[in-house]
Amino acid sequence: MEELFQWNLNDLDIKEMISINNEILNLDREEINDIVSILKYVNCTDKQIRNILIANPNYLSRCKSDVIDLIKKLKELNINDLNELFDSNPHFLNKDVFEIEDYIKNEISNGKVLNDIIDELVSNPFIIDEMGVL
Amino acid sequence: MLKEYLISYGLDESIVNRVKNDRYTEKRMLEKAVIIHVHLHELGFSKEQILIIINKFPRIYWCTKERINEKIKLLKEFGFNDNEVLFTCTSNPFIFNYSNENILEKINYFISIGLTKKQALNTLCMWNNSFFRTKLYVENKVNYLMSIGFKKDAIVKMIKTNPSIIWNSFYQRMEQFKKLGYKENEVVKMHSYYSNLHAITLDSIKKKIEEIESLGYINSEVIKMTVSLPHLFSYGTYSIKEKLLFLRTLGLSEREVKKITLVNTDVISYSIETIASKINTFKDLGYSNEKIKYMILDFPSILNSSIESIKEKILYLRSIDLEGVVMSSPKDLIQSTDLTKARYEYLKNSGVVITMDNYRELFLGNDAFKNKYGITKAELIKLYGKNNEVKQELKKEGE
Repeated sequence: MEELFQWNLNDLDIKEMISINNEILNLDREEINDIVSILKYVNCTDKQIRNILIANPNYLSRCKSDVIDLIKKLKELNINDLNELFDSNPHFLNKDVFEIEDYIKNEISNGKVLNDIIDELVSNPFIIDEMGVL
Repeated sequence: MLKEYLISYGLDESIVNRVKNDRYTEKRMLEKAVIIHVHLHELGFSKEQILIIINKFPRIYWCTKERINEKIKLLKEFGFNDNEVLFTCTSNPFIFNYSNENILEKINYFISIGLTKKQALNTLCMWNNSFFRTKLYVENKVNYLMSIGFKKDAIVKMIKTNPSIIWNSFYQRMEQFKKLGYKENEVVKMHSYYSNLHAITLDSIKKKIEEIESLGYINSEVIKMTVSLPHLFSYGTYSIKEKLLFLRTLGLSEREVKKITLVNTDVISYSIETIASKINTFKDLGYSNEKIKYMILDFPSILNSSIESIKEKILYLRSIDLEGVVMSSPKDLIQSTDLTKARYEYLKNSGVVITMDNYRELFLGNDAFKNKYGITKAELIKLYGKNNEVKQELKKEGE
């Protein structure tokens, strides 16, 4: 858990993160480094990593392979500024590939074209969660 | 004699029949019982632990001291300390009944999928029936989980959290979740994301769904929320209700709170103090309750952003006389300050004055901005990003 301090998180931040996700207490050094290294891989700055971890402590419990698949999917859709996407909506990292695919399928069935769907998704990374809510 | 001895040791009368063995006379059995009691004491087991071991596994009396020692040695070789050895043997004394080969075969399989030696042994020892199962059974279990979409690291994580995933039927669990209205990939996602979920019984899951429904949600909404945040199943209903009521104190109606939590279910995972501190940041920046309410309604996920990041965006907009954007279009706060700054500087240098009348230009989609102004986001950041500002300042100083 000490690994979290390197992201400029203080005791209070970490306490708050644990109150949201107490699984953090059971994570070892390797698990934390592994999952955070994905954020570095998509060029997140230290500040962005800090923001993401504070806003979405549940990210630390995500499976590395699920996050890697999500990133592959987004790159496949030509979404490249992933650091900004995740900084804008840290909870996007909790999505699975099928949720992105379901959203796109649904929008296409509503008559939209893929490029517009992707542009909307990048401009508003919360759009998937807003779907179907009045 | 044997019966009296076992009862005087603290065992129940019924244990006597389970202890008897045709191979041994009563006298021999009594001798063996005394030997085993003394030996277990010498190994450090308390009387309470010995009674638990015998009640779970009366056939311990049929084991030799050598067999018991062999298992203790195995556990120590796998990194268990003295206390862990005592705890493990007490939790699952069936370990004494099986050969090292039988145990190692399964342990090696667990190691091959990514568990450490200690975790593998733990997985085997923390479940009473685990030793009866063959390696093939375990392998089939893992293959089944992978066939329905679990990744290997998710399986390892679930096993580490609670090994019951291997010893219980996930097929039945999946079927029951489907009956509750979940799709297969949703069930896989929820269990991969919240590895402790499989330790929550189906009865508790059903009860929690009903309790959340009683807070004003319909079934499909509860499903949406729990897929997004499966941790909801472990939250107390009272705590969820308290957070919903806290949001109401901002002047939001029940329907509005429902909308916010449907779009942004994660808000329920925050403590009231965290939500309050975010709201106070807006108040410190001069926003009234009414304005804050409007912002949250238009953009529920504003409550998920880090305070520093939101503050930075608002202060930047204030510095360029565009603070009105915060109320006109709170969702635009999604855009990074770096990009807003870069676009603002670029447009200013191109002679486009941005005011509240045309502020939308700053927040166009990337493709739309590129089509209209002929510059990509990457080029903009390169030209006007933070580092570039520093370079320009240095250049000016040099001149």
